[in-house]
Formats: sequence, structure tokens, C-alpha cells
Amino acid sequence: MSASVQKPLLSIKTRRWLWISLYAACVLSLIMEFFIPQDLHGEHSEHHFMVFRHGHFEGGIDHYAFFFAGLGFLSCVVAIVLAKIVGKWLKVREDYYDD
Amino acid sequence: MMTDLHPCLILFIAAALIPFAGRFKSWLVILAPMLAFCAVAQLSDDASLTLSFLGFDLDLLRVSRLSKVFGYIFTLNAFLVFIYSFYVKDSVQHMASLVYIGSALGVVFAGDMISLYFFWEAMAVASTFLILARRTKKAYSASMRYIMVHVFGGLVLLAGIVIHVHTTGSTAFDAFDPDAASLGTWLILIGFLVNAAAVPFSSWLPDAYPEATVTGGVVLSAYTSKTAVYVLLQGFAGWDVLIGVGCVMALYGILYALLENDMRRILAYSIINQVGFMVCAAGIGTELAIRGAAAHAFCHILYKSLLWMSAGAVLFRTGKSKCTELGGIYRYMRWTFIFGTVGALAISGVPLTSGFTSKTMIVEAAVNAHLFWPWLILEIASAGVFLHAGIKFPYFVFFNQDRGLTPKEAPRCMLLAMGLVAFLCIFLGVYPRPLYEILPLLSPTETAFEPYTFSKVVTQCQLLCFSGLVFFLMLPWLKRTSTIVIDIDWVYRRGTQVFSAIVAQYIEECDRFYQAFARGQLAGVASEWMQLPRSNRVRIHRIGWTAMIAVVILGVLVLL
Repeated sequence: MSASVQKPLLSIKTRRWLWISLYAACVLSLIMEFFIPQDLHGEHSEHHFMVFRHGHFEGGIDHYAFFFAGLGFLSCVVAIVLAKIVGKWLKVREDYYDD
Repeated sequence: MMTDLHPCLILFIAAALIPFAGRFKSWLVILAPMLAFCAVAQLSDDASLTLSFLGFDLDLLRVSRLSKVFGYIFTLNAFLVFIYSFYVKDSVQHMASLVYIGSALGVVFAGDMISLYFFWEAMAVASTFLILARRTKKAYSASMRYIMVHVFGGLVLLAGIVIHVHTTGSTAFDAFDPDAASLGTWLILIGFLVNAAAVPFSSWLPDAYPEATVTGGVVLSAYTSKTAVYVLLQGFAGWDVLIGVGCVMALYGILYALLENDMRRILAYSIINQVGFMVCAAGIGTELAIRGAAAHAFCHILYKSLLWMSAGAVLFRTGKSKCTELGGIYRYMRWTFIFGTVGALAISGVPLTSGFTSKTMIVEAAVNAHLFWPWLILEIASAGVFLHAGIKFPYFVFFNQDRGLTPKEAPRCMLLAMGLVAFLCIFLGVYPRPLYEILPLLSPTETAFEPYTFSKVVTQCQLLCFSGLVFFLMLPWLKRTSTIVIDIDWVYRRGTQVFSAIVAQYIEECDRFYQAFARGQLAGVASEWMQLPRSNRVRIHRIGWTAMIAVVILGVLVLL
């Protein structure tokens, strides 16, 4: 490969802005959760720690604050780690079937 | 006049005219799906087209709201794909595409299982030519494996149909009752699941589609698996087993897409992932789930076509499809990159795209049916889709590293088609009402589905933002390697070699034994046998036992 392989596509400044935007989007999505219209009265009037909104399931785990952020983060980490582990056995060289 | 015209006839006639169309063939293939779309729109619920065949009455045209949804999207997508492939002058590809799409229409409007089976097999044969048309050795091998798997699936389906017709006396293709499941219905279900690329019958899809031609890949991505979704919705709605099958497909697709290096193979695995959502919805079987699956099939066909179109344009211009060989081309193929990104956002279910307005319907159906685990898996799969198709595909193809590639922008016909599909993906995301209007109706007792609630948008944004964050934080872990991934197709690509080697060795041993026996040298063979190392003797014993068990099982099956 030529030297151009090593050349970064985006400048450091652009990359920094992209990272800041990504973090900002994450934080914004968390903050927006506090503005979800909710009705925690009636049977759910009792105050629970870190419960700001209704979940979909009675007694489920999805009513905790930032549940979807955590779910997205955790499931992707697990998927990548799992792919890395099983990749050790499942990834083979490209001419594997040509022999 | 148009009322009873079967839409597939228009495409079949166009296919027959292709060899005589000369330089107008590219226009002919665009015109035919437009007419077929009009024919679908004109179909009334009481339209019928019956034929008599071997004493059976075939109902070639049964129209319902569900079949019309698929009819609309099949013809609309065909129109867009043929704009994309305007540059193609290969008559074989055009004819194969038209027969394939026409047969898919035949399946969704089939009212009996005999005509359904006929169109089902016609699809398999026609689609094989789209892979063969690449005219490479790899494509030839892949097409042979593809047709063998579909012949297997077709035979299972046929066996199921024969048993079902024999036991019930009816050829009608109606909903099967899960409480009255028989061997016939199970075989029919397996036959359908082979085409839906359900695990463990899944590997034919990522094996074959990426070997197809540039335009063949786009055509293939839409029809086989979606006709399977239609027949599952029509025949097997509410079968609990499909919930599990769908969830496994959704997760399997993510894992393999993360491991893959070839961009079209990544997209092939994400088809399995997305079809998993629809199969799961078929299993849930409520009215909202059926609507959700139909809506998702509609939107999925569009954004998946868009992704395959943008990958096809990159392949067309660079001749490369591996992530390890691509990168840095967003500067040269800007429009292809923008349209591909719209497709990537739509498949991820980003709000204001079509994926959001359809996928959330399936998720809500799981919630309404109080299915916690399927719901959780669908949410996890939604996060995973963003990871592998939403970011990984555009990032590794258009960004990542500068590989010194300086391709030209895609041809204008490709850009026009991609632009139209991208517009539809956003239009249906912003204003899904026209799509919701054509879906199967909800009972008045059911509450109407509303995609844009503040809660849904915020939770989806959280899910996607944090998935994206993980992608970039763990980027070194996702570094691509020049490898392929072993899938279930190992069984018939390598497993058969191992099996035939074992059988050959067994036959050789038998032959040696028989010849020695014929020569009256059995004592010599026996003493030779005893002199063999113990491991060899054990191996030969094992082979003998395996063969014996196989013969006994086959014998029992034949006797039964």
C-alpha cells in the first residue's frame, strides 16, 4: 500500500468536533427522558428510585431511568465482544473452501 | 377490464418480449412494472382467475389487503430497480428478473397451494440466473448451492402439500390452525422457512446473493425472503414457534454481520436480521403484529434495495466489495454515500425514516401481547442493526482509511433510482399515513398505532446514540480482516467432503474384504486386520456402525 494509507481522512479538528457531537447527542437523549409526559399516579403512584416513567411491562425492568441507553450500550458491547470471541473459531482465510 | 388481469402476466409477457425489444429493452423493463403496479391497484377483493389442473381447481388470483401490500411494493421496487439497471443490456438478467418478480407476484396472489408451489419453484429457478449472470467460477458454484438448497426446500414444501391435501382434501391456502398441526403443515412451514432464511436454513442467502451481479443483488434482496414472510403471515400467523425463530434470526444476523468483511455479505446478513423481526411478528400473530410485519416488509424492501444499490454502485465503480479493500471514497462518490447513509439510517430505525415508522409497530405488538423476552430481543436487535448496518457499512466502505481509490460517481441511472428510493424512505418516515392506509385493517376494538410519541422517539434515540457511541469507542475491536466466516453452509460445502471421504474409505475396505473373501484368503485378511494399529481398527468399526445405523434408519423409514 502507498503512503496515502496512513493519511488520516479527517483532520484532528473535525474528528474532535465529531466526538463532541456524538457525546452531546448521547447526553441530550438522556436529558430528554426527563421531559417524557408521564402519569405515575394510580397504581404506580408509589415513588421508586430512578423511576421517571412508565415501563411497558408490569414489574419489568424497562421503567428504570436511562434503560434504553443502557440497553443500547450493553447489548452492543456484548455483541462486539461475542463476535470477537466466536470470530476466533469462525473466521477462516478466504480460500478456505477453494482447497 | 383491468380488474381481473393478474399482475404477473404483464411481467411474464414483458420477459417474453425482451429478446425482440432490441435497444428498447431497458425501457420495456421499466414500463412493465409500472403497468403491473396499476394492475395491482385495480384489483378488487372479489377478483378471481381459476384454472383446472389434474382435477384440482387452481385459484391463481386471491386478493386481500395483505397480498395487495406485497403486490404494491413488489412492483414499485421492480420499477425502481429497473431504473437502476438501465445501463444493463444483458437480456438474460432482464428476463430472469422479470420472471422472478412475476413469480413472486404469483405467490402472493395464489389462493391454492398448487399454484403457490408452481410460482415458488419458478422463483427459485429464475433467481438462479441472476447469480449465474455474474459469469464467474465463484458465482457458478454459489448458484449451484443456491438452487440445491431451494430444491430441498421446495421438495419439503411439496411433501407437506401432498400430505396436507391427502389428509384434508383441500388445496386452499388458508391459515393453518396451530392446534391442529400435522406432519403436512410442519413440512409446509419448514419449506417456507427455508426461503425466509430462518436458522438453520439461513446460510444460502449470504452465500449466494453477494455473488450475484450488481443489479442481480438488488433484485434478489427483495423478493424470496419477503414472499416467505407473506406466506408465513397468511398461513402461520400466531404460531408461537415463529416468535423464537424470528428472535434467533434477528440475533444471528447481527453476530455474523459483525464478523463479515464483504460489504454485500454484511447486507445479506442484515436481511436475515430484519426478516427475523417480520417472522417474529408473524408468530405474535395479532392484528397489529400482522400490520407491523406488512409495513416493515414494505419499508424494508425499499431501504434494503437502497443499501444494495449503493453497495452495487461501489462495486460497479471500484470492482471491490471487501471492507479491507475499500475506504475513503466518500469524496468521490458523494451522492452514493449520501443515499447509502439514508438507507443505513432507515434500516436502523432512526426517527423520521421509514424503518422507525414500521419497526416500532412490531415492537409495540410484542408489548401489547405481553411478550417480555421477544420484546427485549427485538430492542437488542434494533441496537445491533445500527451497529452493523447503520454505521459499520457506511463507515468501512466510505470512510475508514484512504486506500488510494479514486472512483467516478455512480452512473446517472443509478443515482436517479437511489435518489427516488431515498426520498421514499424519508417520506414514509415523515408521513407514514399512505402506507398505514393500505395495510390490513384493525378491528374497531384495537387502538390505532401512533409512531411519533415523545416517549418512543426519545427511547429510540437513546438506544441508537449509545449504540453509535459503542461503535466508535470499540472501533479497534471491529478492525476488518481478510477472512470469510464459517456458517451453516459448512455442512454441505465441507461436511459433504468429509462424509464422502468416510464413505469412500468404507467402500474401499468392504471391497478389499470382499475380494479377499472371494479369493479364499479370509484368514489372511483377518490376521492383517489384527495387525492394524488399534486406532485404525476403531475407526473402521465406527464407520461400519455408522453405515449400519444409517441403513437401519432408512429401512425403517421406507417400511413406514
